[in-house]
Amino acid sequence: MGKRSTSLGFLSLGILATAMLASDCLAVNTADLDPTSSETRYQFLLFWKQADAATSQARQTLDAFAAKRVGQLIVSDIRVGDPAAQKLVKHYGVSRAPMPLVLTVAPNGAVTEAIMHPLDDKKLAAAIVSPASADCLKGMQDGKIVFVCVHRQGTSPKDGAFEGVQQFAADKNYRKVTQLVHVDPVDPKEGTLLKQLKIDPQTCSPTTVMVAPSGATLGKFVGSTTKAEFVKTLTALKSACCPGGTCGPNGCCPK
Amino acid sequence: MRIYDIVMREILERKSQMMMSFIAIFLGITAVVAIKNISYFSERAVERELDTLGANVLILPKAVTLQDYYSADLHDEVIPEEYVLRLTMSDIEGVDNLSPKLCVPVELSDRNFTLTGILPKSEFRAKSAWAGAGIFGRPLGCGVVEGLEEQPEDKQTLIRKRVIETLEADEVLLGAEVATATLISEGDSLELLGQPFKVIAVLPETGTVDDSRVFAHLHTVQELSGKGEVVNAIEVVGCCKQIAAGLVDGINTLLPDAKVVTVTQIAKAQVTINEMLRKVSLAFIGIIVVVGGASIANYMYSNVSERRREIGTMMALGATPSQVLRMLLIKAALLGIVGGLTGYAAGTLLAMKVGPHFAGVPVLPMPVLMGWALGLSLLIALAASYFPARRAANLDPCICLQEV
Repeated sequence: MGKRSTSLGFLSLGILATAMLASDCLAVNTADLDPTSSETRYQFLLFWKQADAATSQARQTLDAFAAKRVGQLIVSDIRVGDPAAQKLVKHYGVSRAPMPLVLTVAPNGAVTEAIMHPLDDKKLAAAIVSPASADCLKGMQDGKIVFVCVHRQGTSPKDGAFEGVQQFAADKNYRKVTQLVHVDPVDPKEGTLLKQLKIDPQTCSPTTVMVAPSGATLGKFVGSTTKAEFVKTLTALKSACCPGGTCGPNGCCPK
Repeated sequence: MRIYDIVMREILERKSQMMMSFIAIFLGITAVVAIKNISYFSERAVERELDTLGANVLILPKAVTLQDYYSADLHDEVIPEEYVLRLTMSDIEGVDNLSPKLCVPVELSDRNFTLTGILPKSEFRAKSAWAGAGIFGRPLGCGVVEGLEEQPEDKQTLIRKRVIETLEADEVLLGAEVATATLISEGDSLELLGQPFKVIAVLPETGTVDDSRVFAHLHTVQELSGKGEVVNAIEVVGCCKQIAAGLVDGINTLLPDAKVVTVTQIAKAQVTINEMLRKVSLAFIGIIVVVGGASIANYMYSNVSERRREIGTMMALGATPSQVLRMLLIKAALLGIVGGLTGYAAGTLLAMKVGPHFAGVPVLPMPVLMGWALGLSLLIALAASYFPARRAANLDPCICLQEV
């Protein structure tokens, strides 16, 4: 009986020490975390409510992932109920989110992925996106139309290729809801984005892709563009039945 | 003596028998008119509800039926609010808008209304772009170009599209009926569950349960009601193409502990309810025909049998068979007219009284049912009386007088 008590005591101490070490490993002063900081690395924010098995699994997976990428990312462990973390919790609006939750935040402040339980390396790795993708996501999360302007670096786009985009972005009706992102098609980091936008990386023609905040491609324009084209595209989509949001009970296009 | 005087005397002669026949007709017509009246207004309310719903997918707790949902969604079953973010942050395609709701009863100016917690779109819009880089190239669905121009916010979108852009913790929107009943208007203040609120808008009348709702921020309602981080339902505006392409299956997989129903299913459920009401209505018509008709026929037959000598005397004094036939048919017609009219009046009053409790909809009188009730009761009374009346008209006065 006495031996069993001693063993249990050592076991408890061991668990406690491991827990303390583990938490120390990830210990971040959440009050210091600033959602608008100019951090140049990816931040992996682990939000949790209860110290349960799911949180423990998420923490372990995240630790192991971070260990393989030393210096590339910051991992923060945030208890949602922690008064010091309220600024961060409020900023991301995750107080009612399914927990544990990992938000991956790009250096530009875009949330590149919200990963719910269960976590795995594949999901975590996919959350690190190219700089242009992060810029697009930032714009979309700010509720903007993103113009992805694809042209080779070092070569000036053909005359007028992006003139329309510039004019659209300067228009008082659209300037607050427009974001321009330039992409070099030969940049290997942007291969995935170009593939998703269905643009040939070998293309020599300047191409503009108009992306809605939802991620839907509103239009693709090869060569020169005009503001009128973009306005026309938006107007056409607004007057269409389903994209205009009138997808009613009787179907997409009421007769 | 005129034929109508004879008929009136005839009616008053055997009051108890006549009353029994009248009650049979009256009760039957009352029941049919009440059912038809309630089912008509219930159908219209659901049609309006579906039209104004905007949402075409509903996420409900497993135990909740669609009938519960349409009864102002004041059921006790709840689902976690985190389902909203699960859905928003998922890679499921075709979810255009989401509207989580939590309803609690409240009292305002000594009247009962429903306080409905809603979540403004601004609180979860950005999260739809948290699904990672995989969201590029999403299909062009409904609502993709909404809100891309600087426009003043319109709170009426809550009625039109079931979503509102922003809503502060101390702000409320009033349904038209609430505003009318409490004489509260835009800009006024009111107190709900012990907390002061500012009325930021009065919503236009919709003819649905929304008229008797007070809309506030979901988190405020959760806090005041002490229900926790839960909702009663999540209304989803799904893009139709994606609904057809498996949006519902995707939501079912994502939220296995919830019930996901489409508007098609809602419509089917309503058709089933209407069908049931129609069958009940037909059953009552059958009861009227059988019970009412049998009662009148029995009344008339016994009347004719008992009064053979009187009829014979009338005919001996010069009454023609057609006059006898007419007299008895007029008597039956009067019974039918009075039964139909009083049945219509009683049925309408019953529907107006019971309808709001039973079907959750206001019920108004339907004049068209008066003609219908009158026609039906008249037809039954005349059909049931025709053969006894013809038998009376064909009596031989000589034989009848021999019996004297």
